[in-house]
Amino acid sequence: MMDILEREVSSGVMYRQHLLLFWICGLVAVPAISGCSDPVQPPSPPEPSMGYEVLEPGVQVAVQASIEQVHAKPNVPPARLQLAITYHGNDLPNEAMLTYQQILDLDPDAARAWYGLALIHDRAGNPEEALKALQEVRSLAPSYVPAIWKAGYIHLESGRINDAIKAFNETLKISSQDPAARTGLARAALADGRPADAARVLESLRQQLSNSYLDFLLGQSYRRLGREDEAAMLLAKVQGDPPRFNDPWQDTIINAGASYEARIDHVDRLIQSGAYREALEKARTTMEQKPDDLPLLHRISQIQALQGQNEQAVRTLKRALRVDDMYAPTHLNLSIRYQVLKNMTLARRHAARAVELNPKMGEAHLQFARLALADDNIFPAATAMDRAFEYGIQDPESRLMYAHVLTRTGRFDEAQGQYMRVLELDRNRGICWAGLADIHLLRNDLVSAAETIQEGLARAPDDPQVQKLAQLVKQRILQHSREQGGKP
Amino acid sequence: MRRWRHRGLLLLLAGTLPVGCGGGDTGSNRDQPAASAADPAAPWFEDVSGPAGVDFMWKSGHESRFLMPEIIGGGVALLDIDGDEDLDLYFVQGGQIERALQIPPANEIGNQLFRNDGDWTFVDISEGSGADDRGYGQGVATGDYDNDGDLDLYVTNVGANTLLRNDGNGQFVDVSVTSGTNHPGWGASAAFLDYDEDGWLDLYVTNYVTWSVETEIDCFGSTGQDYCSPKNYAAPARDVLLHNLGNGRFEDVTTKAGIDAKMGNGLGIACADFDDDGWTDIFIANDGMQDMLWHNKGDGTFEEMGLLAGCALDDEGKEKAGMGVTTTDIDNDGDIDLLVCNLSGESDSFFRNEGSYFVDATAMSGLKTATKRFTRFGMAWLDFDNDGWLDLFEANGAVLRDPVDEHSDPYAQENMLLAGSPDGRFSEIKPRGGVAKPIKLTSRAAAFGDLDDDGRIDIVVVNRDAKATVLRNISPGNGHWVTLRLLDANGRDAIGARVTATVGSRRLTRPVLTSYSYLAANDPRVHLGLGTSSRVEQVLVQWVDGSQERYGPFPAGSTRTLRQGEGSP
Repeated sequence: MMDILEREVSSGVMYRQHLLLFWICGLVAVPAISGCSDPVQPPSPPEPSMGYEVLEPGVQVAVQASIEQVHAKPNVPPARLQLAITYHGNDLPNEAMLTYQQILDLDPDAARAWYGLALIHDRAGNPEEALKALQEVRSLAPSYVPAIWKAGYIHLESGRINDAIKAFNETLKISSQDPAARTGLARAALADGRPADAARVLESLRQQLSNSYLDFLLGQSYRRLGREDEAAMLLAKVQGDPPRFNDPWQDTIINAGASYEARIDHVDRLIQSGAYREALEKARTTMEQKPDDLPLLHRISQIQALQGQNEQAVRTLKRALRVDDMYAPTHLNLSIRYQVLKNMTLARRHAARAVELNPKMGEAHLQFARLALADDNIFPAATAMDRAFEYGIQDPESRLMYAHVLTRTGRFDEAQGQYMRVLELDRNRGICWAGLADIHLLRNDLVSAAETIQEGLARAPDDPQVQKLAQLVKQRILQHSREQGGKP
Repeated sequence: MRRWRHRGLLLLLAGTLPVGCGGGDTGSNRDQPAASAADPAAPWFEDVSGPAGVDFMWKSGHESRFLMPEIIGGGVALLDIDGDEDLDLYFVQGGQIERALQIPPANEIGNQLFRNDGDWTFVDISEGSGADDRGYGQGVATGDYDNDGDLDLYVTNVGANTLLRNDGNGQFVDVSVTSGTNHPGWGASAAFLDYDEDGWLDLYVTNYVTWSVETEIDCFGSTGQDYCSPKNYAAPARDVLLHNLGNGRFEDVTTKAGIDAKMGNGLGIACADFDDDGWTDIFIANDGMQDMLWHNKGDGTFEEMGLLAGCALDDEGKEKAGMGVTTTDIDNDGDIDLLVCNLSGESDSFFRNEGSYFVDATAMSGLKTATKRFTRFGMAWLDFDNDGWLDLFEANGAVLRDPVDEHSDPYAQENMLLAGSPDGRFSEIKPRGGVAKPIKLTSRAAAFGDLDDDGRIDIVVVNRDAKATVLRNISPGNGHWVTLRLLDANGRDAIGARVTATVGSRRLTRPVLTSYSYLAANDPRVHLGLGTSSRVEQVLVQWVDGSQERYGPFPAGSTRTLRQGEGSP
């Protein structure tokens, strides 16, 4: 792909020279005198290099619409910018580059075109080209700080730590609390072997911003400083979830994704950010192209449920069922919704159907277990949870439920194992200490119960479950003492 | 992670001791003095698959539906099947998934075995070899699980895996059921390792996704329907640890050993003693999830500590699409480093071992920008030009279609070769891939080894729906080399041992392993590029059981067999 990119970049440069000639000619009153015979038209917008047929229908429509706009307004850079963004946001980087180049030929001061080029070069592993383009952005739009910190990150990726630090500090001169720049400074310090400096920046930044990535970087810093316990506490909970720093120009490109998959992603991003109305609108617009699409119907139902409209959510899922009643996730989600609506009969029926349709669906087994637990059917719950954990369930909250079920079914060793795994993530999780102490009590091991709950009290003194178990342990010890004739 | 504190001292002493112990010469001294600077434009490899008679194509079986396994396989192994001291080739075949999943598998095509007849001639001896497993194949691991002195094969499939016992003459017997290794599920990379140091090779199998044809889902990209990401399934799978009981049977100890504590979308594997505590640890590259480091606690159990050790995520905090893995001491500081490859747009992750934790040093090595362009799978850090510095080869191929015309392979990409240098940075060799004319295919597994015993590492690359590539090393320059084969007390390749070779003022530390790269099993021998040095002064071997012996000196240009018990203490 890069060879094509490189070839097309150079053809773009040649094209710019051609355009320059065009504009000079356009300024001359009598073309014949200057040697310009025919008036030269603005360049045609590039079409998809492999034709339209290979494009997904949504992308085809978006590209064609953008190209029509360019044809309608050939000298208007914003129309071409929209086309470039459409190509860019739909993973057609060669066409996007050509279009960005056309924009720059028309208007060399088009900062957003330079920015688009920078992003493409960066992704393609051409850091020097990306930096050149970002430098243009900086001179044209000096207040657009993402162009500055992005250069810092590219320097960082290229191993030029001092240049990276310089760029991050320049960002901070304009935007003194910029989280991207401060995060960059922390990363530069880590890369430079200065974990104490990194920790200082991150500790301060975490007061401004809560993000798993900052915990990850701080955990790394502590690890390198030998503060292993603190590192372990932070790192145990880290998710692979890098922060999305504020970058409106890049967001426009991402949101231009017109394929079905890109639109679904966009809906998910909107749901994640709590923009439910916009998410619903986006989902419904997408459904105009793909009526009765199951993943979209599920998202609409999800949004309705998040807005507390459970009956509507059920109606949407029933529509999904009419489209395909063999789709296991529909039955699973219906089961969950019916459970919320306290219709346990239908909740059970759909959970069973989901398991029947996809016996390896961990979530379906988990739902089955939840319903069994709600009915206090502990052994069926245990069986369902065994399956759930065989087929991919491994989150801490489900582990706690599993540990509880295992304890109640007398599978103490396994229950202990599940509590220990949750404790590996968070040593201060009171419920685990309480659960472990409870198991010791059930085994009549009062000494271990007392030791365990003491540790629980030390780590989670305010946890009501720890306190409750501490009381219970105390009672059992006193009872035991009485039985032993008052000896402790 | 604890660190073995005495190693540095021992090495220092080792360097001062008189040499001359052990090590049988099984090869001639064919080395030549180093020549002057080589032509920088000269190719390092040439594709000899056609003339060599290696006619293998991994068939995805793709028709209309986009079934996920079609884009993941397939694997290849380099191993000496018949004891004639050259590397033969074993290819894992895909085929037609639904047929392969029938019991017994009804795939029309099976895995293929090619005997190395020397002089770059390979002969297909699959028929009647017993090795032509008919499952929908993904990867392969090699190891002498029965301690009879020859390498056996473990094939991972979509569906039940297969253990093939080598009788030493190129004949294999399927012992999957009787050995208890026919684990179902979607196996990817696997590795033999002696995790409990009882003298028998155990087996770790990565599993990719909990998947079936019936539950396959439709996914779309900008060019229409395409293969899904594992994230679309949200169905990570549990890996499997099988303990070798020494009687031909294995026990599933996944739960007992604590491996069931975490599931992932496992694809790549590398086993080595990363924390220098004397026990073999296991690193797993997961696709779209955190990579895992299973720390061997030495009591038969493991704990996952990738995040704490700093090798679960890169310095951007991303869960990358981990696929291939390579591992060695890249910076010559005596500990074992890691390199994981990922999707296009995501760089490789170079986790430099700092003793008790890893540091993401990808940017400082130049790999952050150089490796972003392609989607990488098979890979290795090896000294391909024998200049004394490890290089990097990566076999590439996309998992999402590029918009190309209907006659072209929309997943095809060129492979990459990057040259290592004394400053620790890598630079790409052009023409791309180190061949005169870049080869653009959808490459997956790459296996590495010296196929013609000339002291230069050759490469075999498996390509999706295209013929495999056999890359003969013709690298310019006349750097020196030594190849070491390590045999333990049982007479088998000492997988899990570690070599530290003193070459001039440098100490080159190399793990003995076959499972690295992607879905591949590699030459079990340790290859050392020496540059202009004319000999290895001394080799310190740390055997799997913790004992240490010294061997050497060895002149450049020779292949040596080091047997446990024949060195000096």
